[in-house]
Order: sequence, then structure tokens, then C-alpha cells
Amino acid sequence: MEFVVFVIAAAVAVAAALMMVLQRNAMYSALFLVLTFFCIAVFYVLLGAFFLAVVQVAVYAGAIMVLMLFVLMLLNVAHPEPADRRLAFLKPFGVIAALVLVIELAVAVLQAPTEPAAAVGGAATGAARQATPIARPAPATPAPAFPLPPEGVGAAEVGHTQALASVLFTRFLLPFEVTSILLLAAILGATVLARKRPETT
Amino acid sequence: MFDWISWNVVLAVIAAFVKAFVVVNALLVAFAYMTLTERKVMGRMQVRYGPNRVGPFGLLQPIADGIKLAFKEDVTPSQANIWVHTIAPIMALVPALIIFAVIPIGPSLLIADQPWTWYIANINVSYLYVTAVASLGVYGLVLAGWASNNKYSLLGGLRASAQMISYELAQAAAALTVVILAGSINLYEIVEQQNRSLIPYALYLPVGLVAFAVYLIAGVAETNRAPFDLPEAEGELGAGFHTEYSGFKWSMFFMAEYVNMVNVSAIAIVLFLGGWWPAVPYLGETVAGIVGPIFFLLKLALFMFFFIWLRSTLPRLRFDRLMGLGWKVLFPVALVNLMVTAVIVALWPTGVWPFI
Repeated sequence: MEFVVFVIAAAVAVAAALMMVLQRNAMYSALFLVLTFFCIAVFYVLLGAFFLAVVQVAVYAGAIMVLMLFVLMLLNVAHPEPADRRLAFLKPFGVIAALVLVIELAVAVLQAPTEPAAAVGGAATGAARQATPIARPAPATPAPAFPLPPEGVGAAEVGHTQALASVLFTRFLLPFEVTSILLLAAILGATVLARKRPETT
Repeated sequence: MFDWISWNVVLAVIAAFVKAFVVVNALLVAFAYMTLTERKVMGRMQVRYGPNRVGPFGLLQPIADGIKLAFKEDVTPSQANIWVHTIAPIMALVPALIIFAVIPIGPSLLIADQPWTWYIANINVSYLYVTAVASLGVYGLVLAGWASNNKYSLLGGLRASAQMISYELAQAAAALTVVILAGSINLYEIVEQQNRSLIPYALYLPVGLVAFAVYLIAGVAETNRAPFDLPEAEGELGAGFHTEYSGFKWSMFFMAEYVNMVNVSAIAIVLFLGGWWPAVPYLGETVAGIVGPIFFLLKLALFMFFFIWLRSTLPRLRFDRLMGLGWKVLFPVALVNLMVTAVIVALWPTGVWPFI
């Protein structure tokens, strides 16, 4: 079951990502990107990381892409535009970057432990479970990603919201606060740029 | 190859499918009769009768409307983007329908030693799920406005996206007040907390009441209902984002709007009014499990009436006033309220509210 869902989501994700890059129409690209985000959220659900899945949908699909669409509509770039010749020299670099990323991911997946550890939704666990979804036909706990209706499932394996929060506010407090200061600076910058200057009015 | 599938899981899946089928159909029937109720109640408020010709008391009016809409010609403008024009109503309706999956309308109970639950799914992050899915509803409106290739539709879509993004913040900040009070983002757990203390969070003075008010106002704006129905302001924009829609696609936008009203009301009941409160706990588990949903649905009906009442009473806002209200009044109020709540909870962590 988990495997079937994974295959469908993965196929849709890859197809949508390809379509996003290949589309000439910026609006279609944005919509296919939303579809890709959904498929990634499905992966998070399969890995038992409900919090990440929901935040992925809320932040990327629900907020950022809506703003992108807003800007696209405001600028009215509805019609396909010819490829920009000035940026053609960037194409080889793009291919190189993509190759490097693929090699990096392959190394990470191959080196990851094959047994799913009891880590807090870590990337290594995720990679291992994605790489070997069918290698464990009889999981000890029947598919922890599957939310059974009764409360008896146990809170430890569902969500990890509390674990994530406690790590975020203790071990990673400094990066967390630095990020928020960065965001604050960005907000202030946007406000300053958008404000009407007194002498030009 | 299927020996690792346990029958409990299969049963749970079947139960979830049946419940989802029932909930979706109940929501759509509720939509149909909400249109009739709205027309009749608004009629009475405007000193006229409202629809009363089709069937006894006009009770068959929604069916007549449905038949008419299903057989109406489905016009797509020649310059419109056909794909997006077709997908947009679906993208408006589907998020509205799937939100209800996590809303608990009654306490869990045992029927013949089998657990019975009044929700489809009880995920640990159910409130976040609600916000995430609700924020997707705006796509339908925005894409409808864009794909219609019509200036008024486009303006309606732009207004919809700006309005819904703005009011989402105030709504979420108001709901976070309750999350802090309950110490959980699980909707079922939030209701249980209120029933354990016998006091719904709207009565946690003063912060609960303020949060409730902010949530309600923002919720009306999120559903694009009067007085915040700027995306479809007929005086300025034709019919706004659904100007170029007819027949069944048009009715899907209306289904989405009414189902969203039900969702906003249901979440407000869960967060602030204690869900099935006061059905628990003195009634005993079994009685509470059967009576609880009735209390919930009664509160839901009151909310629906409130929405209709608002629409027939208040004039529409101007768009800059709408944005001003969202960003300069509701959002700061909700934020300050949230901070006050956090301070109080930090000072009195015993769970006993000091101001009641």
C-alpha cells in the first residue's frame, strides 16, 4: 500500500517537475510547481512526518505560490514568451549543477543505513525508507504512516511536532533566531522599498 | 503477497471510505438546503416570503435549482484558457470538502465493544491541516479569475487572493490563542480539554472572547461572504471571478462557498465553543457520544443563521477599508491577544484560568 502510493506520487512528482521546467507559460509552470509540492507532501506523510507535510502545503502551496500567482496575474504574463537569448550561456551550468545534485543524492541514498532508525524524522531515515520501500514485506509495526482512527496508536510515532519544537528551541535556538532576524530584515527592506518617498509625491 | 495486510487496517480503510462518502453527501445536501434557508430567511428579514412555490413551503426549490443548473448550457469564453477554466471550480470545491475529514463532531464511544469515532481522521496536527487545506481554496478563485480572460474576473481573482491571504493571518493568530490554552494542535484534544474543564475557550475572559471575535470576523472574510464579498461585488465587477461561469461549474463555486461556511463554523465551534459541550462528561460516555453530535449540529445551525443575518444586515466594505481592517485592526489585536495569552499561561501553568 505504502509502496503503491509512493510510486504514484513519485511518478506524478517527476512528471510535474518536468512539465514545470518545460512549459513556456509562466502560469502553467507555477501550477505544476504546486502539484510537485503536493507530491512532496505525500512523501512526508508516507514517512510519518505529518507536521512537515502540512507545513509544506501551508507555506509553499498555500502562501508562497499564491503570491507568485498574484504577481503573475498583476504583470499579466499570460502569453508564452520567446526564450531569452541573453541567458543561453547559463544552460551548461544548469546541466552541471543538476548532475552534481544527482550524484550527491545518489551517494547520500547509498550510504544511508538500510534499517529505518527511530530517529526524529531525519533525512537519513527518509532516504533509507524511500530507497528500500519493498525490501521489508513484514514491517514490525503495520505501516506507522497509516493513521488508524482509534487513539491507541500512540502519540510517539505520529507527527513529531513536540520533538521538533523542543529541538528547535534548545539545540538549534541560535540558527532559528538568526533566521527570524533575517526574515525581519527582509520585511523591513520590502517596506522601505515599497514606501512612497516624500519628495517624489 | 498481501499477508502483511492486517484486517484491522482494511476495516479502518473501509470505515473511512464510508464515513467520507456520508460526510461529503451530507455537506452537499446541507449546501442545497442552505441556499433555500438563506433565501427564505433573507426574504423574511426584507418583509417578503421568499421561495414558496415549489413543493410544500418551497422545500423542493433546491432540487429544481439543481436540475436547472445541471442542464444549463456550460459556456466557456472563446478566448478563455479551457484547461484552467475547467479545473478552477474543482480546485475551489475539493479543499472545502476535504477539510471536514479532521473535524470531530462528537466524542468517541464504544458500540458493542467496537470503537466508534465521530471523525474520519484524527491526525496529530489536525488544526494545521485545516489551515493548510483552507489556504488552498484561494487557488480556485484566482485561477477562475485569470482563466476567464475578462478584466472583471481578473480583478475579482486578485481581490480574492489579497483578501484571503490577509485574513488568514488574523484567523491563524486567533486560533493559536486556543492552541496555547489547550497545549495541543489536535482538534479532538482541544475539544476534550474544554469538556474536561467544563468551560469553552470563548469564555476564557478576556483573551478567549477577543480571539473568538477575531476568528469569526476573519472567517467571514475567508469565505468571501457579505459584508466581505469583494471578489464578487456585483456593483463593481459584474459577478467578479465567476462572471464567465455558468451551469454546473458556476454551481461548484457556490458549493465551495457554502461548504466553506460550514467548515469555518465547525472549526469555530471546535476551537471556541467546546464542540459537543455540554454533552460530556456527566452524561456518561455512551449517552454523550450519541447526544454530543446533536449539540454540535445545533451550534452549527446557529452559526449558519448568523452568516445569513450578517448578509442581509450589513453593507459591503470598500476594498481599502477591508485591507485596513485586516492588517491594521484584526491582525495586531490577534497578535497582542496571543502574547497576553502566552504570558498568562506561563504565569499560571496549573491549567486553572485565573479570571473566571
